[in-house]
Amino acid sequence: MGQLVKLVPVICAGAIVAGCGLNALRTEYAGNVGSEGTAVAAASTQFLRDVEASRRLANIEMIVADPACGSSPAMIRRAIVMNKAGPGWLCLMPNEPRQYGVGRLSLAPISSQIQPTILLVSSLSAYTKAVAAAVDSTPSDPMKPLLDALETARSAQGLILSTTGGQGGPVPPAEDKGIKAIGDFVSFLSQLSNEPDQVRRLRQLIAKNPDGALPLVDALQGHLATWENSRKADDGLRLAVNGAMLRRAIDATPPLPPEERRKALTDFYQIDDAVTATADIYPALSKSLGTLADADNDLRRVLVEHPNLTKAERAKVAELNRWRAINAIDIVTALITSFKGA
Amino acid sequence: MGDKAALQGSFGNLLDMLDDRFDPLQPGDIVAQWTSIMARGAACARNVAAWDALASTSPAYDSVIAALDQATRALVTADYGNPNEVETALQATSNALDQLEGILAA
Repeated sequence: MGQLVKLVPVICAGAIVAGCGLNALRTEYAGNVGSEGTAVAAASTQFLRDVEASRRLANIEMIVADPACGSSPAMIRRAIVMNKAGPGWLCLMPNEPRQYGVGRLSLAPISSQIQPTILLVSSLSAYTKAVAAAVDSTPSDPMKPLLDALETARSAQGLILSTTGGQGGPVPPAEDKGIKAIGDFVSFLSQLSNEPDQVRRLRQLIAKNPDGALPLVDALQGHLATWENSRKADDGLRLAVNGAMLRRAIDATPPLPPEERRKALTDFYQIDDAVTATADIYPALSKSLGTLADADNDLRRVLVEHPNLTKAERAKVAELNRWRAINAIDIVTALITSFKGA
Repeated sequence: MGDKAALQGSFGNLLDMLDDRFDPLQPGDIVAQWTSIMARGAACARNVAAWDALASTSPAYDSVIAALDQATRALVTADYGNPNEVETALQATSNALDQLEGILAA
């Protein structure tokens, strides 16, 4: 019995060290990275669907307004002829000479242009899941999610290089931040997926990687900003073209029947409301990406051997350790009591 | 030296303002100009390959960013009861888009 009592401090210390509060904090932060990665992937998918829908709706509006807009690229006049009755009031007719300041709008589907962004999102999501799994517990096959993420990142890298190289314009040099970010990320994933002593060393590598997923988050922010401007412009175009049709309906001579004017006005305000609603998604997505970057930073910071904890984190770790010590004492007390009763 | 994110941000702010301030109950010639300018903005925004190909930073961006911001301010402050002021704001927008089109086509 005396022997058992002497063991109490040892058991308590063991409980604190083996299952220490810091590990609980690490597990919590790994969970945050995983859940934020999932949120970013879901929001990005929805956002990119909206971008495609906005493009289609803008194209529909142009072609409905004027059949002259129905061949790609549609060329909206610099001087729109509001009072022209037939086709060609909005867009140049196919046989008209080119004019300065014409908006040349490709009507081609954008699915292939969106593909590199989708692959960046997939690779970031796969990476966050893999990291969370490696830190949280011992996964059955820790390499598989990383290999998946690596393959997706390599596809994205290839597509981005093929779309940016060889185009006109100031092509980014090899050391450009965006291109470099993807290259570095692929290297980092290669390093992780070649890691033989899996979970423990995975954790070390994740902790030691200075930037983690941040360069990829930056690159993705850039892609999404381009698509957000595309969405804004397509929604604005849809609204303006419909508004121009409304203006023509109001100014028509002889005046249109009241029900036609009512329909034109109602259509415009419905589009205005729909456009306002789609504007909410990107700010939420951008915020979510920022939260993911913060979560990744926090995890990387606490994974090192002697992490520099914030005051709040130290308090939390102390509280967890205290709770674990009390729990250990309770267990030992119950054990002693049961021996006494025996 | 201007950076691409700031260029995208200034262009996005201008697009926001073109969306927010568009009013089909303005006179027909203003609605026509506005629609034409919106189409030019959309043509720039749809040129995703050109945006992807822009370098992260370039001294050439500074003047374009300034022109885009100035156009946005002009659209914000224009008296929408005064067609001359609206036309002036649209002219500033057209000038800014000239510069942006130049960068994207370079």
